[in-house]
Amino acid sequence: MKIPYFPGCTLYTKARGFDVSAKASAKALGFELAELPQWNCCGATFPLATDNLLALVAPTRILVDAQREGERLATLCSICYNVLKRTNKLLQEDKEKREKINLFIEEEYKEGVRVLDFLE
Amino acid sequence: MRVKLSSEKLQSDFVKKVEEISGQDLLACNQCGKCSAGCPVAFAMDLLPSQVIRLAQLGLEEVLDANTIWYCASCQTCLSRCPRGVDLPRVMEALRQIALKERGDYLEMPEISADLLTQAPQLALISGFRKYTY
Repeated sequence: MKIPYFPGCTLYTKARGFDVSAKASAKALGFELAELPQWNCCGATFPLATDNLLALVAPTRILVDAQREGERLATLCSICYNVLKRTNKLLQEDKEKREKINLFIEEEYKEGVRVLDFLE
Repeated sequence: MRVKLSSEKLQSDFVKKVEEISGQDLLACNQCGKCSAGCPVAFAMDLLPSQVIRLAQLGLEEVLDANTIWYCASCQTCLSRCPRGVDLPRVMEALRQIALKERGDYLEMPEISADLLTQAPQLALISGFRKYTY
């Protein structure tokens, strides 16, 4: 079984060991973390200002890439998890903002990706 | 602190702007103080979170001078404790946005030392740019 996986910047630099050990644990448990073929920075913060849609563009792109790969997206970094999960929730609940961002990134985010932490 | 209140201040553009950016009703706060009691960064703040929202309610722009809005880590502890459901992290963000945009009180990237740039995790730098610039 393959689960789409978003490493984020930290897992390739400061937390290299975490990436290696998580992948090895996944293998021992009988599944594989399949890195997204292309990905960008998650943005590192979830924008709190109601009018700041631009900061949602980066995490939305990741979710769009993830939905091409499957229904789930695993993360290891707690900040990526936080940002992606909250963006996902907002996109699912707020149709107007979702459509605006879709138009902006010229891709279509549909409902249905589940953002998971590795432990989930 | 002694301040002069006026109805103009209470209904000022400042109050409206904070409410619009944050999407919160400032007067929903009844000053119970649970946010300040639970805030993990309160020890470093010159105004407590509950005092920040009080000043914002009253339209006192001095609130932008407090270090509180910059120390706030948006950890949401106050929001989860608030009996009135006021999303204080969003209010803090609104105040930060106003301080950044209108006061021009923002971080200049060239001021960051090369040491910090090479040693800090990328993640911290990106969140820093998001918080201190616009």
